[in-house]
Amino acid sequence: MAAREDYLIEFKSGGRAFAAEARSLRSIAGAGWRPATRASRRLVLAELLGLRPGPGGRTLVVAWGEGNVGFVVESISKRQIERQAIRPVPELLRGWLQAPILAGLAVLDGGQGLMHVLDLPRLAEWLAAAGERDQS
Amino acid sequence: MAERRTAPTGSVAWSAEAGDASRELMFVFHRGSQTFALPPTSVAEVLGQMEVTPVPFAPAWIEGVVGVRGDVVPVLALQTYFGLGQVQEAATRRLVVIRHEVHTLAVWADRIVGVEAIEPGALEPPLGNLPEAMLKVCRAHFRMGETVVHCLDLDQLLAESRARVVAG
Repeated sequence: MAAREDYLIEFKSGGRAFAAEARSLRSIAGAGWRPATRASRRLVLAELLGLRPGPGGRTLVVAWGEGNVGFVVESISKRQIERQAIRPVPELLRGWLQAPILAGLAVLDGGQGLMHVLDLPRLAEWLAAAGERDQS
Repeated sequence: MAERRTAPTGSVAWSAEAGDASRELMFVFHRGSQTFALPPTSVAEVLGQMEVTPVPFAPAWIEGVVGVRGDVVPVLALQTYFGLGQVQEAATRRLVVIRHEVHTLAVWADRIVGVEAIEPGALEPPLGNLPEAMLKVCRAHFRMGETVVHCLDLDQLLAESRARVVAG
């Protein structure tokens, strides 16, 4: 059995399944998971990923500077994925990505399926830094 | 002149034969309107159709990633990288898994020709009329009948691809 919060939370954004490490989240608004945490800013994750957003129902809240930021997603799956399913992002792919958004890739279904494990705190940092660069 | 030695198909891992020391072995495949060659020792295996998972924030020439026996392998879209236009994807296409130093990547091949033994002197410098992106990563070319085969330099391909991302 996985240690407390040593698992991945699966969710849908832009009609596609993604995951995030449970321990990287402060709360999930509307899901009754941990005490509700107010997000000072809410962003639609699908738009950030270049996907068409579906009807949003849940907000994944992560720490952002002194406060919190919420990523709006469509739904949260009841499936919890063991953290051992995560494989590191290949160094080659890491060098090709334009933003450091991946914490890894979860290998599912005996190696047949792959799911992106998003590093939402880093995505928030990257967005903040990108915003500062745009303003300067 | 090139002489065919073996043609790997399916998902069976294989390795190149030692061959005549005076000849250079090349793994040859077609992609779109072009024909490419790689050192056979860099070809880890050839797989059939696989589901590619797109990667957010990746350049357009990264088609996504595939899972190969528990490993995550990025798929580089050669035709997009080289600006060769769209390719009509056939159900018979094959995924060529390439290992180069510590890196593993994959590219689609419309058709695998096989491993060709290239006679000394058959290798010539890259053709000057290639698209710039292709010229930068081709170390030579040779002919198989009427077909021009471009020899990819994997060191250059990986270095140039990273430089392209950094340059934005």
